[in-house]
Amino acid sequence: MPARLATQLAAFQEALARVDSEAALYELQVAYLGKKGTVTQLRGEMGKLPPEQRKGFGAEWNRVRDAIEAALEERRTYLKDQARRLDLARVEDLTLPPLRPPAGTLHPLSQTRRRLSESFQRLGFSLAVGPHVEHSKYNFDDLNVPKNHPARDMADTFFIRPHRHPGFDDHSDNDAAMRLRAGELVLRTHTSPVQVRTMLTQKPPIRIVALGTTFRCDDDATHSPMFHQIEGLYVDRGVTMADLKATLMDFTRDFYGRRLDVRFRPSFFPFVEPGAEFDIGCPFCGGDGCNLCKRTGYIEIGGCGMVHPAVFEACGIDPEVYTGWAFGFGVDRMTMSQHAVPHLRHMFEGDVRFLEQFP
Amino acid sequence: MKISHQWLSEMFAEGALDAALAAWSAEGKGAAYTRLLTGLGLEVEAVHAVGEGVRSIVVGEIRGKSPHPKADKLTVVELFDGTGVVQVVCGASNLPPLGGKVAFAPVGAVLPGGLAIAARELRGVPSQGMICSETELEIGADDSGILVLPEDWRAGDRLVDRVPGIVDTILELGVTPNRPDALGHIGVARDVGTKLGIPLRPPQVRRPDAPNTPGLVTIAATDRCGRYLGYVLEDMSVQPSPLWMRVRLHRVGLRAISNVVDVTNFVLMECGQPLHAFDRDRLVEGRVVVRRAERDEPMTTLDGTQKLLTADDLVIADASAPQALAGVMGGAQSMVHAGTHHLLLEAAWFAPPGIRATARRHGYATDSSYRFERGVDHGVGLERAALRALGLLIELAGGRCTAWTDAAGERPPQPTIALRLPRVAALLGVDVPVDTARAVLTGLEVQVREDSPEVWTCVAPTHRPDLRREVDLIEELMRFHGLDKVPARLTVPAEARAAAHSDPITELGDRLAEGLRDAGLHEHVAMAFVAESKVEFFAVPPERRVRVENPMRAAGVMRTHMLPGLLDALVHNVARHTRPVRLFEVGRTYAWPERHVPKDGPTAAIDVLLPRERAVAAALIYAGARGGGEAREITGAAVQALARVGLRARPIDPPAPVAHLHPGVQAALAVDGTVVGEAGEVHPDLVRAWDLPEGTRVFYAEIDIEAIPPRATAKARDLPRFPSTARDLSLEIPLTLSAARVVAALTAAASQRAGGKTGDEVRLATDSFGEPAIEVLEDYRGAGVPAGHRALLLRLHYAAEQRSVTDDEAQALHTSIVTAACEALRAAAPTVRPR
Ligand SMILES: [Zn+2]
Repeated sequence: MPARLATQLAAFQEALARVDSEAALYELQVAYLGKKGTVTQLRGEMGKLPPEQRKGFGAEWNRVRDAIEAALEERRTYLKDQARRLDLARVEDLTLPPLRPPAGTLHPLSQTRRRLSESFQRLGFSLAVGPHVEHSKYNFDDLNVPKNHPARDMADTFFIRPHRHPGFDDHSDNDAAMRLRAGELVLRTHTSPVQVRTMLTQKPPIRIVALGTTFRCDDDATHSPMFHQIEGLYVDRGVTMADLKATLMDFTRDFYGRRLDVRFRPSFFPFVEPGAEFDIGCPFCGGDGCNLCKRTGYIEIGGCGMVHPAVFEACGIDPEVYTGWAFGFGVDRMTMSQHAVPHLRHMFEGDVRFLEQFP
Repeated sequence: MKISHQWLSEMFAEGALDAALAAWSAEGKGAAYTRLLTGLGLEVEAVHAVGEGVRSIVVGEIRGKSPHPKADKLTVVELFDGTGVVQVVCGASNLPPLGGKVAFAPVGAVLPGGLAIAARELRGVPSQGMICSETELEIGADDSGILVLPEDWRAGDRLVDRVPGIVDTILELGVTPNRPDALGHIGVARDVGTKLGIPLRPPQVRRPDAPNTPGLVTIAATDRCGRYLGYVLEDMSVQPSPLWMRVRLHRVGLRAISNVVDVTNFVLMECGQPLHAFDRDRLVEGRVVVRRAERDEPMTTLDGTQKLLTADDLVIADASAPQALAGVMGGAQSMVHAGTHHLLLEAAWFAPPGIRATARRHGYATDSSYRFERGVDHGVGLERAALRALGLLIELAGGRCTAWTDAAGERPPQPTIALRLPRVAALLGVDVPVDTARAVLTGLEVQVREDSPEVWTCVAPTHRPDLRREVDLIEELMRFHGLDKVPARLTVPAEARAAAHSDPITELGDRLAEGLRDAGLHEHVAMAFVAESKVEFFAVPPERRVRVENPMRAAGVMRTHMLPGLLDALVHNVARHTRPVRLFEVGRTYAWPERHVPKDGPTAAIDVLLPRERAVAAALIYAGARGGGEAREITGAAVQALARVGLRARPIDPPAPVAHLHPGVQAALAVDGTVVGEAGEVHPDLVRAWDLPEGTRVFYAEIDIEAIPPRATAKARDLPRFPSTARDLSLEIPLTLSAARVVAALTAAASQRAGGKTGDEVRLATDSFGEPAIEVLEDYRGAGVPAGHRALLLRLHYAAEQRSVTDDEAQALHTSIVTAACEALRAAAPTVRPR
């Protein structure tokens, strides 16, 4: 082998041993085999040799180039393996806290309200709403609770101080405003005024639920002055109490995932007649008896009954043509028993340590 | 309402109730009553078996008394128990003289309270049993000394034989306001008898032989008093009642006082009829007038309080002055006292609403007003109650009835009700057999005329003022037939129903709540009312605040903003832990409208009187003692919430400053130019007002749900195929110039330069969601920027539709946009310049 070829090969091999990256390997390749590489240049010198030596030199040069290329390839493979090994040796602890926005929650009352509303919508009840500050005509009078009737004691009422609108003087509603005396505006004591509003606004068939905030002057360990109710109303020709029972049973199947018994006990609510309290088979034990149902197999839910003809009359619906039923119950107590909330006050304090428990 | 089983039994033939109850159910008295009465709508809230411990008590006779050698207050008593004499040590000071009779608990007895009597020594003297007081036997409330029994009782007799009914079952009933008849034993017995099929047979009463004397009673206010029965009783004497009477009253929760008062209370509990007894000697002219009070007429009621009456109050007056607040409370002057000899006994019917108004006005809630305002019997039951009292008074207080009268005012009419029997099934979905219907109505004393098999003409009895129309009778039939017999049967099958719909505002609120939850906030539910001091900082002026007349917890104003409730919750949290507090609430705020707002629809006449209720979603973020927390988290949360309803909101300069937010740290939230809310740092004055530590930074956002514009259907955009080229820009601007305005100026400048000749000129590229591709990279406030200024580093991207853009054309457009934007910005902020 010509001495200069041998020198280059030796120099290459020495350099190759020091190469530790693909970039350096590429540089080395360019330095020896590139357009201006030292080995490439040696091939250019072949023309200066006497013709009898050219063939031998050419063969030698080819061997050297092949050897270099093979060595480069081998080294490249080695480096790739090495890099892959290193990559695979990386360790990252994915059990560290995941990166995400902090978790938020919906209030347990909201969750119950949504589930109730979804259940009843599936059963064909549309959502109806009404104001929290209500006129006693809708909260009491039209619901067959006349002024100075003891039935008004069933709900301790918050009264709202009447307001005289500045622009009323030159308006035709002025008289109404002036007649608005103390005691006529209240914070609704139940969601039932929504019944009245709906019956005044729509023609039967009416099939609605009203879900919302209600208020009573009651403040102790088991009563909050603000609480939540759901109310259902169904008015059409031929509606019976048997339909109410069937509907409430359908509701239990949708809401609790199992069809539970519904039991009526006679009771009194001025806006229904006959009126009843209704119990459902205990959803916690399925009626077998547990602590939550005090071993009775039933839990008390709320009140219901057939819409009183006086209510129909107040709302302009002919009770000889239409019948209807209504039911109502408290959402707070249901939520608390569902989630085993120990104290009512937790519900309205806004302690994040409480709220975060309801993902 | 406490109901005694023994008392109920006396309303039927002897033994009839026990037999019928046992035949109806074998489950025992308490359980049977619970099921029976609760099934009738008279909810049994509790059952108490009482008096079992009295069974071993006997009558003891005092044979000897000597002082205890070692204790001044103790007496050593020789007591004859019917068979022998035992020695008992007693601490009472009211021991009767020798021969006197006491209640004796011998060794081995267990008292009602559970105390087991054993032989023991008291300060060295053996005692073989115990002499008992009323309270120890749980048959009375008098604990001042031992129970002294009548002298003529024989030693050794058992107390249970001497006082029939002392062993009893007491039911606590929850009586609904529609059932005044069930506020007396007769009314409950009538239901029980009707259900069990046994006829009611209340104790016999007799009309007095005295003359009807109309001058005794004058009803002047005939519209307020429907009937007034008065009886004069002469030469009676006020004394303690016999033991049976005292025990009976104690069992139903009343305190024995004297025979006269006790009899009126007894009849109250038996008949549900309040009575009143006047000392007739103290009535001027010995007669009464039922009239309205004069305005400001004074009167002292028997509880000793002086009242000034109104012209709407009904009084029972004598010839000169009010002697009772009718149906509510008697007067002090003519009240029965120890020396009373002549009585005027009142049994009346007063119009319920007036009684209720008077009781409320003067702050009374008495057993009497409770019943009158629900409506007592004005028919045979009223006279029966009066005669029952008269009989008992003569029995217990002596005397004789010398005059009586029955004065009439306007009695409520007894409605005639047509009961269509098929209507029962039409309403309830279940038939009540005709025989059952007949038996129920008869048992309840409804007069029935069976005009046809389908229509009965009924007249309700005077003791059931709640039975006014057909549906009331249907309820009665169902009550007794059994509401549990109603089957479950849908009127319209599920598949034939119309589809349900939601409420749009509720729906929006729910979605916003989900967005805020996803932004890492917890939902809070605060009281809708707050203390006035908590809304003073807000923009709603006092005259527009909605006030509660009778607030609780001093929370007298309906909230005008959500922030006070969230700040209260924050304070609660900060006092208890050091964690971040991230809360939101979706609810309503309340304010009277600034001016009259006309309403329409069938409820307009009412709606126009109501305050404005605004649906609001509000968020509060407090990083907490652990540090961190940037103002932009709150705009982030709000924007994320709005993204949940498909809207792209962006913070912009507030159109007007919001008072409760920091003046330098606030923004409005806009959707396509419509302002839907606000966000910023809570004003430091509020942080102080809520007593949060100085320097606490709290961030708050509020979205006006009703201002949210409807979401438009998205239209697709073609996707650019060629990459864009970016140019950076560093702008020196005053601190008060917002990034939103800089971006807006650049966007405006770019759009003015858009619209080329070739149709595919280089232009500002479009970023995600179709926004102009202007990134705000950094808000630099360090060295090299003049005071009151900052450097905003922006990156603008340029592209063309169908081709790559060259560096030169991008640079040319960039320069021209920046120049134009700076010029526009300098109109308001002259110091704006590129760096
Ligand atoms: Zn259970």
